[in-house]
Amino acid sequence: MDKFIEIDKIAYDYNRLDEEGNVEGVNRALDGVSIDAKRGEFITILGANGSGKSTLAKHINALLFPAEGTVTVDGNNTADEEKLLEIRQCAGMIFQNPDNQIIGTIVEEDVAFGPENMGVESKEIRERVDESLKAVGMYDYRESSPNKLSGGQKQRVSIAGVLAMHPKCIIMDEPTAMLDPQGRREVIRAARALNDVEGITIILITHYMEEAIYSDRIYVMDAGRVVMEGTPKEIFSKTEELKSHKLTIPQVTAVAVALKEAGLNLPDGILSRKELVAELARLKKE
Amino acid sequence: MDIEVRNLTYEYDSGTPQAVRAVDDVSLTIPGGQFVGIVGHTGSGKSTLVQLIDGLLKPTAGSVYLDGEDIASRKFDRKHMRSLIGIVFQYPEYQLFETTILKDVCFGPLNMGLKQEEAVNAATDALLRLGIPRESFGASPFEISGGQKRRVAIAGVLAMNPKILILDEPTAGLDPGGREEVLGLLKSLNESGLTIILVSHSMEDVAKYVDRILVMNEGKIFMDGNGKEVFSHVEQLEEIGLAAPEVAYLMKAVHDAGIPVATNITTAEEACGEILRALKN
Ligand SMILES: Nc1ncnc2c1ncn2[C@@H]1O[C@H](COP(=O)(O)OP(=O)(O)OP(=O)(O)O)[C@@H](O)[C@H]1O
Ligand SMILES: Nc1ncnc2c1ncn2[C@@H]1O[C@H](COP(=O)(O)OP(=O)(O)OP(=O)(O)O)[C@@H](O)[C@H]1O
Ligand SMILES: [Mg+2]
Ligand SMILES: [Mg+2]
Repeated sequence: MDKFIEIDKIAYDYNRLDEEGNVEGVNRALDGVSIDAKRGEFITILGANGSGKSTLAKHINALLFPAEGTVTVDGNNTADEEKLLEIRQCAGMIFQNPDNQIIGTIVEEDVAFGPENMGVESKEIRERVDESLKAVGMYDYRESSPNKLSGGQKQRVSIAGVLAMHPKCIIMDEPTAMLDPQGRREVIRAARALNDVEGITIILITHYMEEAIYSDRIYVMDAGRVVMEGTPKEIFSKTEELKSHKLTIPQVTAVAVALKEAGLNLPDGILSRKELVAELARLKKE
Repeated sequence: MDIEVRNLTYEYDSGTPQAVRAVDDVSLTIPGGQFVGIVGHTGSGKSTLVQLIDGLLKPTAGSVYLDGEDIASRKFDRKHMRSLIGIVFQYPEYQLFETTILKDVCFGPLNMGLKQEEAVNAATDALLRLGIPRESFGASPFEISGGQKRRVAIAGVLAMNPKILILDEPTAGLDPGGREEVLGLLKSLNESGLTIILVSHSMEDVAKYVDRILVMNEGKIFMDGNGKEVFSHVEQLEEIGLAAPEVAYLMKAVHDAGIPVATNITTAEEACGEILRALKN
């Protein structure tokens, strides 16, 4: 199957400056990282603070360039300067704080900003704005002022702003960290819908294990390296290994693991409420 | 040290057409030594309320009292108050400003009058407790990851050894290991007598750690009680953008599947015990 994103053994160093601003050394933030995503895949990246997730994410839309190795997005190498614009339009990015990402004073103006900058003609902008707002369920708010919206709504407007540029991939770097439970659900639901319905490749970075259970595959990073890779079921069956990387398992999985340890006959890797309830109902019958 | 808030109101851009009433006639008392959680939808007024309590914002109406003294009164010793109450902001970027991590965390203690050496000791201790290794002390607080910035910001306040610690979403952006460590640290500080006010979007965290939950909605206190009380009103919480902890939904589903478990459960440990009990009978 075709690899839409292919990151091959990349390394990245941040310069370490002394108090006068001279380079006194380097911090290796990424060290031999290889990650790939098929077209339309939903990938989650987990990892401790400082493990290199954000640094890696910035390589995918060519905000950073590897010191070693290569990054290829939709067949274009980020080292190829002529392809930079294309790569940046193809891979959109969403960050943690919705307030820093919204510039317009009216929702639809904000969403139009990206395509306007790309030089899209005005009739098409109108269409793109409408379809993007519909895709994230914010069409009814198109004439609202962003500062009247909740955090989850603002974050969905930021996603619509990226969508209006017709990306093939959206990279979300902790998009729900500042949101209330409902906002968190709205954003994850929007990401899943874009993936299912529009076939957009999603790279989600999160510290909420619950948000990772819907992805096709998970990569776990630690100290600048990829240390685990697999389906959510595979990854969340390895409680101890995850703990050693400062991670954990979803709350439902934790309950299942504790029940198993207490002697109940349960399988590994239970992720959702539904699965656990079904297993418990089976045990009750037996 | 008791905190009392009486008829507190705050409007941003007060007196202009854009005025926003962020805190609306709130009254409450937080006795010394309590571990209080504040939850509420985005924009419900949590950050505004804690900044009023810390005296960083001046109320549009109403007052804040510390041990009965009005913090707005002329006689009130503000400098002393700064060393009693520490606040960690929601966005740590706004808190960091020095050229190195160590200098940043030393700033508060030095400002309080500690000698250089004492300040360095306090800062070192706080940084290590927050999981920042010595090798990183010389790095710029701007050139580290998001979660590392938050750890440094928390250390900066901890190093001042406050009596009341206010933390606005201190675990947002922390990895799960760090979240447990920080919350465990808060719990132990609370046990040693500190008053802790924790603003959080994680229902799981407040259910597990705090004594009392304040639920805010549109600038008002919507509910005030312990975890069991507050999370027994799931529908009302959902109406205002919140939720119960994940295990509460799990227990409801288990109950609906015909296994007779109690449903007023808010932590994973309780859930496990309750399911085992119900299956054995
Ligand atoms: N601007 C910078 N200058 C120097 N070093 C940096 C810079 N930004 C990050 N680093 C370092 O690079 C490493 C990786 O940081 P990165 O931000 O990619 O981590 P992360 O996995 O996104 O962490 P978090 O979960 O805290 O967001 C860390 O050791 C960090 O201290
Ligand atoms: N500097 C400001 N100027 C104008 N309005 C503001 C300002 N800061 C906050 N507000 C408004 O005041 C209200 C309360 O905001 P506040 O930041 O206290 O909410 P919060 O509960 O902390 O939200 P969050 O969960 O997103 O952090 C919101 O309507 C917000 O838009
Ligand atoms: Mg990051
Ligand atoms: Mg806030």
